[in-house]
Amino acid sequence: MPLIQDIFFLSQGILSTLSISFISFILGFSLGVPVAITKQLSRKASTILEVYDNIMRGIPVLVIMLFLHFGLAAFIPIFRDPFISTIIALGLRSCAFQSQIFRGAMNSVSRDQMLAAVSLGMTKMQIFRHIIIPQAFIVALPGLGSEIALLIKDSSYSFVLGVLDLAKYADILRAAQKSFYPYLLAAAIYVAITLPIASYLDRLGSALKTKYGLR
Amino acid sequence: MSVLECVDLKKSYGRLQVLKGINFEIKRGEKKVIIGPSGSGKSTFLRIMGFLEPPTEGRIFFKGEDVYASRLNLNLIRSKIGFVFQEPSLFRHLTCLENVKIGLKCVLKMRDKEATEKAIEALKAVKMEEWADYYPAQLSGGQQQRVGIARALARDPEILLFDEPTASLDVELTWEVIDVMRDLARRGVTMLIVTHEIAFAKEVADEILFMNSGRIIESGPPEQILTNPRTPRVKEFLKRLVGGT
Amino acid sequence: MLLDYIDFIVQSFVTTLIMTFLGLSGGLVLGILSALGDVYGNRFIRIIIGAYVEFFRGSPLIVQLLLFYFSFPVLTGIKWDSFTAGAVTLMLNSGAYQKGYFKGAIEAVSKDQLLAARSLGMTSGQILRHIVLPQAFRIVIPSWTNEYVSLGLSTSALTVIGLRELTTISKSIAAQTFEPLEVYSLTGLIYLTWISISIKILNYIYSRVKIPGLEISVGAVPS
Repeated sequence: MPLIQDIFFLSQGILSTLSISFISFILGFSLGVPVAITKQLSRKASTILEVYDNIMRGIPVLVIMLFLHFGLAAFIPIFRDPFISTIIALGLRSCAFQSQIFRGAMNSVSRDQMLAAVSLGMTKMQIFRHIIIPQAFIVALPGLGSEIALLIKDSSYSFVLGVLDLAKYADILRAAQKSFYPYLLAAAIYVAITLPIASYLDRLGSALKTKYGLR
Repeated sequence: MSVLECVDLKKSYGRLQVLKGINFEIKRGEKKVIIGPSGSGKSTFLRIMGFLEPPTEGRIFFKGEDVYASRLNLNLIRSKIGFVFQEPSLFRHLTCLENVKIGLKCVLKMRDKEATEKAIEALKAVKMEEWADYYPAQLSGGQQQRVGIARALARDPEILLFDEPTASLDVELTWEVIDVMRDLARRGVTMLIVTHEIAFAKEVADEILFMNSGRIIESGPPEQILTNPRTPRVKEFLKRLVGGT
Repeated sequence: MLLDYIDFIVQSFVTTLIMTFLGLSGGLVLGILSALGDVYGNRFIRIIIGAYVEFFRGSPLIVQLLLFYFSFPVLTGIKWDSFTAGAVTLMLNSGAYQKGYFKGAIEAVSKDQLLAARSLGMTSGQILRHIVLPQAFRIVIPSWTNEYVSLGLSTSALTVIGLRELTTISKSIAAQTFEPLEVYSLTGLIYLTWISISIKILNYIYSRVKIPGLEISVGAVPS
């Protein structure tokens, strides 16, 4: 059946799409969490990081990708690889988004708990490590879910750089078959990937919040 | 002249029967107070009498007419009944004056000038006319509640229904509201009140009804109910409430 | 050198602004209607709205653009250009996101106010018009600001259907001048300035019309 064949063809791109999304998510996570914590601890660092955030959120991610892949590539050879450029660009932007998510999550931890921790004699670092961060993770889950969904969708920008991801394979198929159905199929596949992930993390977050009585 | 009456009123939510057959009547100028433990169905009863919820069984009469059987326009009837909730429930985006006016303009289709006059009058009755241009968020709970009363009062309703109006207020704010209610009672407004404020009930009520588990188990003039109740359940409730008076 | 291209840059930026405006307005109408349909409609309506929203929120804009650009001429026999295709797709896409924001804002109006309005004898229509919508429109502003930014930046995706907006033009200029760093930096600066000013304006508007006592955190991450 031609439909099955088409799906097989497109699935070659799914691996790229997923790797781009998840690697950038991890990049954003490993940078975003420390950034969020640093913002809470240091006023000065906070203002500098705010500037970074605003830049990442005020420029299209495609422009950042183009800047890296065509601009910086001359000086830093690693950006000659469009795959890397995409990941770095998405990861840097995700860092900004995720630091925002975590900041909100950390602030939602009720003040009385922190007061209690201080009265017990805990240091700021200890309070962060044992009280705030664990709870912040749970509260942040729904936000992280939508961030992953966003990354999976925005990984399609790599299409412009020529990366062979799901969107590009759909394009190739369209050119070969001279029909638009591959795009519909690809869209359906994207939906089939993003919705369950976002929904799962959303429900997981709610369930854990209820279990621990947060918020 | 009968304002509100119900015959064999029953209400169930799914399998839970909250009201188990209530017969009740209130005439013009009367002030009746309903007391009883929580969960007895008092609020549900009041909401049904205020036509905010339909009964499962039974008939309700407004000014002698069977409302549901005659399929009267509910919104029209609601506009003739003033309801004061436990939470002030003022419209957050409107000033006090606008809050009182909106019922007049929207439902009674009054003109702006007339509505403003009536609204200010109502605010004066609850002593809130100075706060006319303030937003609910800028007022205390007691002040909001008084504006809520003004909003219900402004349309010269046939009857005012109060659902534990002071339950969510602390002691001092409660007194502001009780004062206003006492004033209204003195002016002859027909009132049906659900409350825990026994002292107020004693002062103002023509009749006190005790509701328990969806039924009215005793009713009578305040002196009788409060000092010499016939039913042991009522005795027990009052003892706990008033602290052995 | 770069300055020779000022004309193209300005022109393409105007195109970006126009597409943003069209997408947001169309999306506004679709979003409000969908939100109302979802809150007050029957099951059938809600299923349709659900499918619409899931499709446009679950798939990338790039794929949607390509899909509509190529499918419309085939399905209807009418040819259309990248401008129209882009605008329509942006409207549909934005509508799906705005539905979520408006629904949230409508549901944020506390239920006790609805009960109070009923007790006054107001009809459902009056309650919607005088109580729910006035508050919902103010509550939605912070989230709507997010959508504005998101849509404005995503106009760069229009490059795949060949629309000459800012990002597309900057690609051409970079290729012609062999100065990608400068070109893309300038492009980034233009976007950044536009977005920053827009956010400031929207925040100012919000601060002027917001309901006293109702504080929503601005800059919330959309979900």
